[in-house]
Amino acid sequence: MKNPRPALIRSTAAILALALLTACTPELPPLEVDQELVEAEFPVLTENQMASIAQTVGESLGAADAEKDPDALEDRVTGPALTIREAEYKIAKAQKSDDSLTELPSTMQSIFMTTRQTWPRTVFGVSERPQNLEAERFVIYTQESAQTNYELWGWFALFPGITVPTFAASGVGTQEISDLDETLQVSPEEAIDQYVSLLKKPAGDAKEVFETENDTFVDEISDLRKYMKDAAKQVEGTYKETIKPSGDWHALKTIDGGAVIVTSLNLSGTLKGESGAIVTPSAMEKAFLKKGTKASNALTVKRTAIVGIYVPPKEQAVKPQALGRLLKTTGASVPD
Amino acid sequence: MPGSLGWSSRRGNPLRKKFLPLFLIVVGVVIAGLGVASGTVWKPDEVVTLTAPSTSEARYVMTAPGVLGQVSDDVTIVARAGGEAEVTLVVARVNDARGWLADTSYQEVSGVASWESLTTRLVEPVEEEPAADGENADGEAAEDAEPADDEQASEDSAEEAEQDTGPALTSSDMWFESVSGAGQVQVQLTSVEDPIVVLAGSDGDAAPELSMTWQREVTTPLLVPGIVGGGVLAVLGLLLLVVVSRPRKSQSVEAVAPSTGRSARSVRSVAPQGAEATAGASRSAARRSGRSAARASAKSATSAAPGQQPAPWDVPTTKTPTAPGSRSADFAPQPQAGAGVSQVSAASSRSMPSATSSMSSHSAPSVASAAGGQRQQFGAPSAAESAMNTAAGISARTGQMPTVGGGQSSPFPGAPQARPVENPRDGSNTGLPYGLTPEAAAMLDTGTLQAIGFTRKELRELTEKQRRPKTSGIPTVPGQQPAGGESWLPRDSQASASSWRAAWGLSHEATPTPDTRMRPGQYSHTDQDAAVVDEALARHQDSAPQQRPTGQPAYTPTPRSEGVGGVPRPSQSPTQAPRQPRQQQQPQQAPQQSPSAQPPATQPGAAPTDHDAPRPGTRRALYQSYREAAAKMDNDKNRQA
Repeated sequence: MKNPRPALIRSTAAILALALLTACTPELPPLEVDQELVEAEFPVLTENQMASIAQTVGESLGAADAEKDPDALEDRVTGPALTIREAEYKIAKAQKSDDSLTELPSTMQSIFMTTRQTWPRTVFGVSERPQNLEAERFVIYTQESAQTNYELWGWFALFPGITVPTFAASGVGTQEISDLDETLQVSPEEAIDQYVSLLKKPAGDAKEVFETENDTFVDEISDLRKYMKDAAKQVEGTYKETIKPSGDWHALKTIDGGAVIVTSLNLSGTLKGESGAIVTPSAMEKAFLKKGTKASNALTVKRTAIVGIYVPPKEQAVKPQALGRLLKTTGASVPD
Repeated sequence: MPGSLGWSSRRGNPLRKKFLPLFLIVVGVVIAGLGVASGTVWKPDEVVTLTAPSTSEARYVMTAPGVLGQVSDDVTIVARAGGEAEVTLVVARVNDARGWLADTSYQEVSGVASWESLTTRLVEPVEEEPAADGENADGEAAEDAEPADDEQASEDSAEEAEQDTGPALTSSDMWFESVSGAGQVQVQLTSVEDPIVVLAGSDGDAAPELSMTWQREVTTPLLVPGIVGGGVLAVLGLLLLVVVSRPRKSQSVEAVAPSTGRSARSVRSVAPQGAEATAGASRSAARRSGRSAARASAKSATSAAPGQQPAPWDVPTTKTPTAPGSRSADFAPQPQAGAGVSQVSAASSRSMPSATSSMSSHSAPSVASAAGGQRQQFGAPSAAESAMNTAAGISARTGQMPTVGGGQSSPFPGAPQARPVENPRDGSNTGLPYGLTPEAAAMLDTGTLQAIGFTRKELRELTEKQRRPKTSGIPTVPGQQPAGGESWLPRDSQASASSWRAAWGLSHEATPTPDTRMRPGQYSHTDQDAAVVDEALARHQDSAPQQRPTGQPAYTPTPRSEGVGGVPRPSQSPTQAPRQPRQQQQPQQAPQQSPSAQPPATQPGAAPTDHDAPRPGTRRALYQSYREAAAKMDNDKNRQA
């Protein structure tokens, strides 16, 4: 070894320089993604977001109601709600009164949020009691796709004495039910069909399926049917009605494993008297008739109904029951 | 230690010898400086900003999950568009953003590649058609867009031209935050989680530039280790430099004479050698002291004044290996300390040539100053000073200097004597050593008298003579002394000095009494001894009646003599009967006294009719009064009990 000191100095300097370079630069943190967290099914909206959406829908409805402009509803109202609201506008215009407009509070007292990360998405809500002291509205909002916003799909009034099943908290969210779900006593579509059968034949087999103690909708349909049949007798004619599910339904799972299914029904009733008879439409029905339409011996009235049905899970002995309904005349025509 | 470190062989070259310490110092300072610099000027910026440049391959840019929180949970995102184009920046869940971008291509920021750049990739839209019916089909809705390529695949397609009509970015209900503006918008996020992403777009054809700024955590791992390590190296180098730079002579101590404080510490570290050298010096000093004592006998009293030369009475104390220098003066209140200082100074003047010139000339004054300093510090009378005062008083009165030998002046028992003394009674006309008169002998303390050859009997006689007028606890003041007392009893020079010191707290004795100057064993407190003393006093009184003024009693039992404060306790039982010879002498002695010398009537014990009563003023009378007082106290205690 000749003279180790220069080498010692050089090596020391090199070590110091390397250490400084290494230590002065913070280590780049790696990209760590919790995939489970990313894919977790959180509620699609927060309460604030939902409140904002409800407010926005309310403002849109208010603006459309003021103008009775159905086109103004298209951004925030969809499905049967749009149909009903358009009919109400027609009626209101014909009657020159807003009495036909259903009051829809934009403030929700309860929100039941879906956790579905795909589309369409559904959010249920229970509004505050309207100012006209009618029953609280059970409101349905849907988002058909990611590129669209949440829209008012429908609402219905709760039957008197009905308690809304318990849903998971909005911060937790609830699962959206598909028709393939087998945890319910009956599937959503089957439940809807059976309820339609109940409406058609209140004393039929479907009567044993549902709990109808508080279900006033069946009675309304029965009374309507009886009334129209009596009218048909007066004109010695016939009355034919059709009740069909629209096929558009949304269901959210309740906390007990059941589900609340909301669907719309299309009702149609045609009263046809004997030849020469005249079936005069009501003022409401006239709103849907074209101007200059002369009364004839037949009249077809279309109605749209929104029904909420609770279907319990399989292990429960309670029967499905309807929670509420909305029935609105949405059309009238004179058959050929 | 230097030899173990390997540079002792190159001791001849001081530069080489100091290379390693200097190298350590330099390296230590450099390391410490680099450590400080790494935590200050070289400290990386705590704010890091990375930018994904704008691209014309897509209209939107989105961050991948986790990117926003890759550096820290707090991030500021800025979206810039060229010119004054409207730019929108939204914050959303990743699934919502991907769903919103399902039908269009977008640029995804997939991560932080380095501290200078981001990694991006182009994500193409899914070709699959959305569910045709779209009704109640779980999972059949449009899924997230799958990345077409890992890296920026530049596939120009005609489909990009069809992206001109995309959904409005600002109007979705799914966004948590949406900011729009012209040219540039900014969003600041805190505590971002993995599902949260940002999506930016503009009304132009190109995706906006996306910048993310984090407040990253910058550590300074070299700051503390650099300072500590560098400091340790520098201190080590300094220590080595001090060790190397020390002179060699200080490494081997053989006979060290402390001339400075540092040298004193060196001597302490080699205490055995120093003590031995001191002992050797003591012996030689003792020999010199003998010669000086012989010379002192022929000199005048002024020549024996302290400070002129080493005091001979200090010589015996030099055998004690005391610590030298100022340290000994701090903790040794005894006179030996000052003597030790003088001796060590003398030894230093011999053993250290370099300090000889200065130390030898100041050795004697240093003794005096040391002794004086001790007196001031501790208030203890120096025995050496006491002896000197005594000698000075003698010389002033007798005109001659008693031959006070060096070691004999020590008041402590066992103190070695420097040399044997000749018979002091040769040629004495008074019967006392050196022809001292009783008056002159009374001015010397007991130790001195014993040293110059006084017998115990003679000492007792002298002591009795001293006690009688000084039994009071009050410091001796000339005005308080009996006006008609014996002329030989008061010792103005000695008694006044010691009394003054005691009165002002400069003495260990609270009250100077004659007995405190008597060491134990010099006389016993027996009745037999008291009788002997009384006889001696009686003889002396008979032999020198002319010294008393006419008409005054020889012994007046003043109240001071009745005090018990300075009276030693009798060692014998008070029931012991006095001896007969004393009883026979008392009646003979009593008529010789004048009637006025009769004890007052308040002292029945002193009645001449009582054959057991001691003669007033004698020690026996004092003992008797003490016994009575003690018995009375015992009776009182028993009665109280």
